[in-house]
Amino acid sequence: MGDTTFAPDSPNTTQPIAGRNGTPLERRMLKRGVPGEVGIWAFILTDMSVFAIYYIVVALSRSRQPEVFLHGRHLMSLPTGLLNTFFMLTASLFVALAVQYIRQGRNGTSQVLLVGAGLCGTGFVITKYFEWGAKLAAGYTPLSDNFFQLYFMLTGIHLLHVLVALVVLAYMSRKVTHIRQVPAASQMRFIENGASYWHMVDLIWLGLFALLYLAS
Amino acid sequence: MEKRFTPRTHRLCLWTGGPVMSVVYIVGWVVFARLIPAPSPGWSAQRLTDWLLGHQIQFLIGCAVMIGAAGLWGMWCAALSVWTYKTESRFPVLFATQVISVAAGLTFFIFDTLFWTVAAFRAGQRSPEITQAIWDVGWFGFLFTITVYIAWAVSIALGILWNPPEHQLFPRWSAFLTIGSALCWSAGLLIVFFKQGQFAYNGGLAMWLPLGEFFVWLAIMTVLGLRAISRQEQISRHEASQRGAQYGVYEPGKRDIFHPIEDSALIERPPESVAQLAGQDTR
Amino acid sequence: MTTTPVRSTVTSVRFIVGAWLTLLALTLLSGLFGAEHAVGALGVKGIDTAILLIAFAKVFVIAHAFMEHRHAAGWLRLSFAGWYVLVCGTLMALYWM
Repeated sequence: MGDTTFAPDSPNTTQPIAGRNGTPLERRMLKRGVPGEVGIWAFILTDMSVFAIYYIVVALSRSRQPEVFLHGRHLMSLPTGLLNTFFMLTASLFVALAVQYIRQGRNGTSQVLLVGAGLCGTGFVITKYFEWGAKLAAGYTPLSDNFFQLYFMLTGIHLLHVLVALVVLAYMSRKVTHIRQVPAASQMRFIENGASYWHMVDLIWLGLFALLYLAS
Repeated sequence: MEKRFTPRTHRLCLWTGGPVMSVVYIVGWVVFARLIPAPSPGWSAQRLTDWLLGHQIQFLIGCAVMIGAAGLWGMWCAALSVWTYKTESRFPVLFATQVISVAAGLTFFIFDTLFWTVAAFRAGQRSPEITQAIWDVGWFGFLFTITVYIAWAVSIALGILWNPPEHQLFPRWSAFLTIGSALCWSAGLLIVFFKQGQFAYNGGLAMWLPLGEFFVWLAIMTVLGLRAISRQEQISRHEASQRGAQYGVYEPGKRDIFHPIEDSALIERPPESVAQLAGQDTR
Repeated sequence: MTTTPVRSTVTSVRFIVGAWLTLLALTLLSGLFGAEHAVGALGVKGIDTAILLIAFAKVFVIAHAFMEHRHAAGWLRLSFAGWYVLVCGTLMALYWM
């Protein structure tokens, strides 16, 4: 099948690092047409479709019980939501920058950025812990009403995605330690796959933030 | 051991266990059992009993149709698992995992309909609470047992991603699609907490979405499975031209009937020529 | 022969950081919309529409800049475009009902 061929794992120190049209790794990505491999995009599109259904169900449930949803929305903490969004966006920033630096052979800097992304992801998890804790302490549980059922379950499913993303980040970091100056194609593919997954986790949060914290 | 590829049975298993099973099952569910919309766990036991009694015979026919379809599903899983086997034939751990998981999954797939049938069988004649308890077991069997399906899906995916690429007949992206699908199905585990809402066992996000997604994934994998069979036919024909007539593709034809006594010579010594087969060269 | 790493790449660091700043700005803007409802002439439906459009604008920026869709194959960009249109459209329709 088409996308199983790749270059052998050897440090290509004899090639120039960057040309006019970008680094060799970027040119390979451009030729392939997608960052990472086609498969990760099949996964991303599947997961995004599932979350699209989640969003539509939130909107449908809201139209059936508008008072319940308005009441629930007013109990949501906007500053906490903004903080969560900040953590997600900044983690994505660090991951995107790390990918650029890895392509340029700057592995040390990219490791720092990956740690930064991990810290942001952890910050998100900790914020979520306190946010849920506050809701539960105030007596709102997933069994309270349909708004809170959706809030806890959907942010919970997203949280699981974030936890998996943190594990993926750890593996990406480990992959970078194995890179000798410039990554081989299979290493870059893994890193780009992981980065794309991270951006997806960020992307799906934005929908939840808009529907659960902002819209009436 | 037979070395030729037998695409006819492969195609039969794939078509029967996949598309045919799906159509029959959906007809049973929608037309006869009328499980759209599905009764909520929040209903009172009496309300559930009344609903069942309202179309009892039809519902029981629907269950019979659904269970008939369910029995076919194993064929589809078998048709897929052999491609994993091809990539790991000496130590087939992922193949074995698939077979074991599907055996369990198929049992659950059958017994959820079984429990719904038993609940409907004496609805009204026994206490409504008993009817509802048996009914609930059916739904939990349908959704809460998703873990074996996840193990099955993951072993299909790993068979494509982690096994050697030389004998892969499925594209890598289908493995990623399978993993994404398994994640979607796992929402079924959340039904344990809710008696109403989207994550109850009749809910949109815990039941309808995973169920719908499963059939979409099944359709895609069926198309890929048919392509795999065609590709294997090509490979086998090429093998026959390289290594001899005992390889290749078996096409059912004139010598379909095998007579154990008269044809025992074939077992002792494989035919070396068409002439020997015709009996002109006896040794 | 090894050459020292050159900073010029197809996707520049400045572009990525610029995208991030845009995302933060859009987030704060949507936060303003979410905080005070029925702002002026917009009304509740207008606010909700603005919030949804901003959210999907952010999704586009992430896909375009972070996921590197700027240079991606047509089928991928088309799939995502279909997702934006279908999902945003459906949500807006439901919020307008």
